[in-house]
Amino acid sequence: MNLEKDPQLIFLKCAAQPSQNNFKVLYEATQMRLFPVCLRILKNQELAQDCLQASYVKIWRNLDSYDAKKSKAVTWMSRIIRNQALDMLKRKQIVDYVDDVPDMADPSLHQEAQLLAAEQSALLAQCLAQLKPQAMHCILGNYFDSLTLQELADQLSQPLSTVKTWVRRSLPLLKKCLERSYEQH
Amino acid sequence: MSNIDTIESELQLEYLAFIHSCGSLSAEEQDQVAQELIDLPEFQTRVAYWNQYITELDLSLEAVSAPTLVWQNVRQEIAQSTIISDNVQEMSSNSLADHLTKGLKKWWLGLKSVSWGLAASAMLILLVVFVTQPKSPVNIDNQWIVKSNVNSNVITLVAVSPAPIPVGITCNLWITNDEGALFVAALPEKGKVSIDLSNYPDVLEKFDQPGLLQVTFDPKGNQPQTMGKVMLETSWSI
Repeated sequence: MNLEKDPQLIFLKCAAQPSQNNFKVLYEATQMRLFPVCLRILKNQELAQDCLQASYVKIWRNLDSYDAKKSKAVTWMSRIIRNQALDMLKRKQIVDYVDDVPDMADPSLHQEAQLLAAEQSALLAQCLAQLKPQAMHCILGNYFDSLTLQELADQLSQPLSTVKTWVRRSLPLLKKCLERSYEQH
Repeated sequence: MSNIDTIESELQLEYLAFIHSCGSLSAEEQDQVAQELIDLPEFQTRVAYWNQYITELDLSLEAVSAPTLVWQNVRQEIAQSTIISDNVQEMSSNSLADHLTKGLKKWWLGLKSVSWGLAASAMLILLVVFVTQPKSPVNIDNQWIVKSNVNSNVITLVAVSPAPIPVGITCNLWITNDEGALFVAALPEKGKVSIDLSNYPDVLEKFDQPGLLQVTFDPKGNQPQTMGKVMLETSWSI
């Protein structure tokens, strides 16, 4: 167990002893994994920075509300980041789409799933890769880009009902695969 | 309701839970969720399920470092809240000291029938705890205080507890450094305890570098394998 590298231990230490120094260690250990969430959803460098800033201030203020029984600290933090990004998105603060953000709408779908096959998301990526490509595209587009099904339907030039059916049918399959995979590990 | 209807409604519930978890409900779906589903335990369970698994997608994105400006801004904002928090903590400490002083006064007055000498000695012991360790780290949680004093290899902890430790919880002492965390001993619920680390040769052997002494709250039971909430932390070196 390395206190300097394990985000969970760093978080617990920071929650127990909330100091600027401890929080800086936590920030440095986690921001690289969380900043991309802001970038992905907001697709705007400046807004993503604002999102990250606001999120970490929220994390700081809510350190004591984290419950280790419910989730890992990084997962808890990522929910705060995602909610912040979605709030900002809903407030329609997006102005431009900057080029330096990877385009997740690119339908090279299985490639995306391969990219996801890193670290603890490997199981999830494997399950996604088992879905029909169009269903996976919708699920990823839905999650990463926060596109509504209507927007995805427009993008794919398909009726809304068709897109909805893809997603609805694929969710039980995804769930079954996830449960099976996590049981095996 | 026919089987097909049941399956359809299950699929629809799953779908809405997933989309809700993604944060990409359409306006119409948002209304439906807010009016019909948000308080439904089955819906909440499904949302929690997707939150748990799908959030991992976020963490799978390629790492990108934020500009240093972001941290500078965060630091500025939390510095303001730290000042407020420090003031609150100071007030808490003072309030607690007042509370204990008042308690002692009441106790003093209530002991008229007891010999003055005996009472004075007892009070002196209690005061010594506070007076001789003014600089030691103090942690306050629901009126629960732990003070530590590290002298050579002997760790002394004083638990002054107007309120008892919560039921089912025990207080454990750990030593941590870059090598990891090592459970040393469970501490008594109240009172003063001294632990001579010379009696723990395996601890001293493993931890030959400076580290931290940490006291955690853990569920009562067998020796804990992982650390619970850290209530006290102080530096330590042999």
